[in-house]
Amino acid sequence: MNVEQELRRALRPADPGPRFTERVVAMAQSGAGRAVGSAPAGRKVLRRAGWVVAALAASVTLATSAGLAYLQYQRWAEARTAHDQLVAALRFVSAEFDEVQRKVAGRDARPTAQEQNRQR
Amino acid sequence: MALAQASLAAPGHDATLERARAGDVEAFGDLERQHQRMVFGLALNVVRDRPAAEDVAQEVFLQLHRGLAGISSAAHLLFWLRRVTAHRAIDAARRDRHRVRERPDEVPELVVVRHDGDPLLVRTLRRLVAALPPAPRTVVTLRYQEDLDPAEIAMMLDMPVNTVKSHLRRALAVLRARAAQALAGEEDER
Repeated sequence: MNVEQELRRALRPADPGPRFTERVVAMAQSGAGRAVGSAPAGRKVLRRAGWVVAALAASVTLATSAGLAYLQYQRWAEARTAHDQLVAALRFVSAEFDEVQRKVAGRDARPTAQEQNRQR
Repeated sequence: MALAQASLAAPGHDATLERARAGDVEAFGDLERQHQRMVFGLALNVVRDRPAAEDVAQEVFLQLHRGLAGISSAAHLLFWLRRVTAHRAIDAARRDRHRVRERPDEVPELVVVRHDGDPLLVRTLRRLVAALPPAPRTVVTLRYQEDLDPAEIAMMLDMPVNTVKSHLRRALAVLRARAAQALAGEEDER
């Protein structure tokens, strides 16, 4: 068995079939260089469209995520402000109570008028 | 060798090329007719799918039409066509590898089988070549369809000569072994 000789027989040039030349010449003449609607061109357009869809989907996802993150941040900032205001109010009330308590305690410590007369 | 073997490098073909370069559509059609069997055969042997091979051949000729100004002679044209077809066919074969395609048993008949060889062996070899990976398949096709030597194939595929030789050596060993197995199996069945 001479494989190389048989390979030459098996791999002969092949005929693309009738009208191939007409098709190619017509496409070349149309000036497009690449036939509109030809399979490779179609596949390339589909591939490109696939990328565009993927890019759009990625953009939408990114924009939605960014929007949600911003809303969450806004809520957190509002809660933080409310917390700070509450703490400040409690501190103020606490200081007022201290002041009142101090005054009340000072009055209790002073002698009454009867006690002062008795001492005299 | 390829350039010497090219009967297409005759003066008449250079004149056709000249006319095609000058914008003569009929001359471009003649050039296309002269080379279409080589281009389509090469594409079909590599991509293994008739419509895909037609696409490859069509793109090659349209690219040629766009770049005719850069082709200096009939020999240059032949080299250019082989090189561009081989690269485009490998790309197509790799791109479409994931696609469901015909089983190797159903690889289309490339030509009417002449009765000057063993038709069974020819069919078996065609099926086995179709099962090789795209790069070795292209190397084998350029070697046995176009009768190019390893140095020319290396230049055409931008591949080191030793890589081409190793693809050829391995592919031939595999083809010999599997063809013998397949033929032995066929004979056992008879």
